[in-house]
Amino acid sequence: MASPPLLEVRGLAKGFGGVMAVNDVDFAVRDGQIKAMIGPNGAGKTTIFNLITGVFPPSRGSVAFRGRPIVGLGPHAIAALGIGRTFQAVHLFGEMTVLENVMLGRHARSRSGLLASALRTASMRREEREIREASLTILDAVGLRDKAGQVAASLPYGEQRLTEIARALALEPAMLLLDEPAAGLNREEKARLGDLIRRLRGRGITLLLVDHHMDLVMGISDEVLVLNYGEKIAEGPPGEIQRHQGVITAYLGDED
Amino acid sequence: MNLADQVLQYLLSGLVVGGIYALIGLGFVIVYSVTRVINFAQGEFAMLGALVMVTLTDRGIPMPVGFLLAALAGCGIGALLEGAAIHPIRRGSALTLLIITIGASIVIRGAALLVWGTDPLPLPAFTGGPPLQIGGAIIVRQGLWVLAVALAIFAGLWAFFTRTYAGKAVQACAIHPTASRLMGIRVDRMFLLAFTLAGGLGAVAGIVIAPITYATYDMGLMLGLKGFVAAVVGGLVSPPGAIVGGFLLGILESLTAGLVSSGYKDAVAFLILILICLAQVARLLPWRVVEEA
Amino acid sequence: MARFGVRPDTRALLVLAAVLAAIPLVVRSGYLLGILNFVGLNAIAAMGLTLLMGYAGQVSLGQAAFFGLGAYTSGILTATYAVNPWAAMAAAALLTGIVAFAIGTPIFRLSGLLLAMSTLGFGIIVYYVQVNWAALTGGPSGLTAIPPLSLGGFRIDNDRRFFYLVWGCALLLLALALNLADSRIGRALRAIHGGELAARMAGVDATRLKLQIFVVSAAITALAGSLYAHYLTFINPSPFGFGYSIELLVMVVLGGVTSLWGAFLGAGTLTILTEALRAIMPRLTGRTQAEYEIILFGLLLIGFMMFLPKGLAGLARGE
Repeated sequence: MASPPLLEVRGLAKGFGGVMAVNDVDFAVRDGQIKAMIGPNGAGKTTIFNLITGVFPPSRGSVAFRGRPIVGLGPHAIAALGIGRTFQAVHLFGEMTVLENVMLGRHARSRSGLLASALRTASMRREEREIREASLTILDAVGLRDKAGQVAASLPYGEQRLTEIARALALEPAMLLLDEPAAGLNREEKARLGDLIRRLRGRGITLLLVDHHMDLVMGISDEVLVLNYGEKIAEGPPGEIQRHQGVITAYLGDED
Repeated sequence: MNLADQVLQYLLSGLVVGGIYALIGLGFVIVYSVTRVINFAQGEFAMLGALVMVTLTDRGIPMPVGFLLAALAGCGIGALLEGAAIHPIRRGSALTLLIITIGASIVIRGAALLVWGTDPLPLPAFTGGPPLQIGGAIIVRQGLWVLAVALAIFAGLWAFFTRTYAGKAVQACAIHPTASRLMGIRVDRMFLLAFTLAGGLGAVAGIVIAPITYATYDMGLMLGLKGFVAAVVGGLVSPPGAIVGGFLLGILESLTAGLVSSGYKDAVAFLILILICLAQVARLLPWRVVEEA
Repeated sequence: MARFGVRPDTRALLVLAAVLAAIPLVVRSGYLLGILNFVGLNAIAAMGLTLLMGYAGQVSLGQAAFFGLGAYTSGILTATYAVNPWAAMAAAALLTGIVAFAIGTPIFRLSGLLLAMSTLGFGIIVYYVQVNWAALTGGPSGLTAIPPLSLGGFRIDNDRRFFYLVWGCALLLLALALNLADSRIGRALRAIHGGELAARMAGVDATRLKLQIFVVSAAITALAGSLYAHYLTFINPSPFGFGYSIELLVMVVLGGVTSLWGAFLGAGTLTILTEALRAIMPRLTGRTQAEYEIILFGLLLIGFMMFLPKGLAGLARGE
C-alpha cells in the first residue's frame, strides 16, 4: 500500500493580468523521491515554486503537505512545516558571513525570543551554541567549513549556491525545492551537486528541483514533470520523458 | 451669518488654499512619476518663490516681472537640487533619496533663515480693491488670483503633457523608463526637467499665496506636507488626482477649522494621509498608492 | 562573531562606564553636565531609532511622538494624579508600546516610503493632540510641577545625580540592545535587511518581528521622554514636534544607521555641535532667536547619505 504523497498539488492555477502562468497543474511528490520539473522558459516552473512556498496565493487549486493544506500560509509558516527552498538567482544575505547565513536558516528551529536574547539567559546561550554547532556541521557536509567566516558575497558563485543550499538544510526540511541549482556551475561543480543531491536523498530529504541541465536532471531524478505554457504535458521516469513526442516538440532540451 | 453662509465661506476659503495644495501636489506627482523620488523639498520651493518675490517687489520691480523671475528662481533651485543631490545618487534606494531630500529641504530652509530672518514679510496683493461678495460669503481678490493662476497652470500643464514632445517624453518616462530609453528619450534629462518643473510650480504656489499668508522661512514645511497629502490622494502618479486631492484637502481643512476646531485644522491633512495608507492596506482603494510591501 | 565570555563590546561598555562614572567628579560646570545629560537622553532615543532603521530596516519620521507620549504620560500621571514616578515611567513605556503596536499593525504592511510618510503623519497628529487637548496636557503652555525621580529618600533633582541616572539607563539599554543584535533575533533582523523574501523563506516571520522591534523602539524612546520630563520638571509640546524626529534621524545617520554605538556617537556629536552653533551664531548674525543649526543638520544628512553611508561608526571601524 503506497503511503500518501509528501506533497500533493491539485488543480493549481495562477493568473497574472490576463495571462495564466500556471493552468490546472496536478502532481505529487512522494517521500524520498527526487523529482524534477522541466520546461521552456516561462513554462511556469518558478511560479509553481512560489505558489508552493506561499509567496503569493494561487488563483485556484490546492497544495497539501503531509496531507495538510498549506495554501494561505505565509512563507515562514510553510518553511517551519519543513519545506526549504533555494532561488534561481542566489538570495544570500550578502553582508553576513557564510556561517551567519546558515545559522539564520535555523531560525524556525530555535525559539529564544526578544527578552531572552536581550538578557542573554542561560537557555539562550545554550541554544546559540547548538545553532552554531549544527550550522558548522552542515557546512562540513557541503564542504564549506573552511569558508565559514567569510563574507557571503565574496565567495565564488558556485560556493554561494552551496551556501544557499546549506542555509535551506539548516531548516531540517523534509522537502527541499531547488530552483536551477546548476545554473552557472561548471562541469565539476555540477557533478558535485549531483552527488550532494543524492546524499541529501540518502538522509531522507525529498527533493523537487527545476533545472535546464538535462544531463543532471535525467541522470539524477526518479521522475520528471514537463511543463509548457503553464500546463503539464508529461510526467514519468526520465527514460520515458526523453522519448515523449510532446516533450521533444515543445522543448528541444539543452545539453549544457 | 447663517450656517449656509458660513459653510459657503469655508468652501470658498477652502478652494483658495486647495488651489495651493493642488499646485504643490502636482510638483510631487511630476517628480515622483518620473523619478520615483518623494521630493521632501517641494514645499521649500514655494517658500523660496514667495520670499524672492517679496525681495524683488521691495526693490521696485513690477509684479509681473517679479512673478516670472521668482518662478524661474524656483526652477533654478529645482534644477540645482537635482544636479547636486539627486543625480549623483540616482541609483540609491528610495529611502536614501528620501532622506537626502529631507536634508535638502532643511538646508534650503536654513539658508532662507540666514538671508531673510524670522519675521513674516508682507507681499502686496496682485490687484488692489476690497474683497468680493459671493452669495453670503466674501473672498479677497488675491484668492481669485490664486484660483485663476492655478487654473491657468493646470491648463498649461495639460497642454504641455499632451501637445509637446517634451511633455509626452516626460509621460513616457513616468510610465516606462526602460522603453523610453530605447526610444531615445534621455531619462537623465527627464529627471532634470521634472525637478525644474516642480521647482517652478512650487514657486508659483508660494508667490500667489504670500499676499494672503505672508512669507516666512518656515512656511514651506507644512505646505509641502499638505501638498504631499494632496498628491497621495490621487496615487502620487496622477496629476488630475493631485488637483482633486488638493481642493478636497483645502475644503476639508477649512470646514474643520470653521465647524470643529481651528487648532486641529493642520492635523486634518495627516489624518487623511494615515487613512489613505490604511485604506490601501485594507485594499479598499481602487487604485494603488505607491508600491506595497 | 562574539564568543562567550568577555566580548569586545563588553570591554568597551565597561570602559565607557568607567569614564562616565568619573565625569561628574571632574566636570564641575552645571552647564556642561546639563549638555551631557541631554546627550544621554538623545542617545537613548537615537538607539530606539537605530534599532528600527538599522536592524529592522524601517524609517520612522515620527519618533518624536513616542518621546512626547512618554514625557506626557509620565508628566500627567505624576503631576496631576500623584502616581509614583517609577510606576508612571513603566506605564508610559507600556502605553507607548501599545500605541506603537496599534499604529504599526496596519502600516507595517506598507512599503518603505509610504511607511515613512505614515509615521510622519502619525507624529504630527500626536503633536497636535498635545497642543490642543489642553485639559489633559496643559496645551501650548505645557505641564509644570512634575516631580523629580527619587530612590528612597534620595531625590534625583540636580544635574550630577541625573547624569548617573540617565547614563546608567543608557548603558543598560545599550548592553541589552547589543545582546539582541548578537542573537538569533539580531541575525533575523539583519537578514530581513539583506533580503526580506529570502528571510521569510528561511522561516523568519518578518512582519511580526518588525512590529516587535517597532514596539521596543517606541518604548525605549518613551523611556527617554519620561526621563526628560522628570529632569526638567516641566514640559510643553514644542520639543516633541517634527523637528525632533528629524534631529533623531540626523543623529542616527551621522553615527551610522546600522550601529548601536553609532547612536551614541551621533547623539553626542549632534547635541554638542548644536550647542556650539547656538552659542556662536547669534554673535555672527546679530540675531538670537532662530535655529540656525538646521542648515548643519541638512548638510550632514545629505553629506553622510552621499559620502559616508556607514556613518562615524563606519569610519571608526575603518570602512
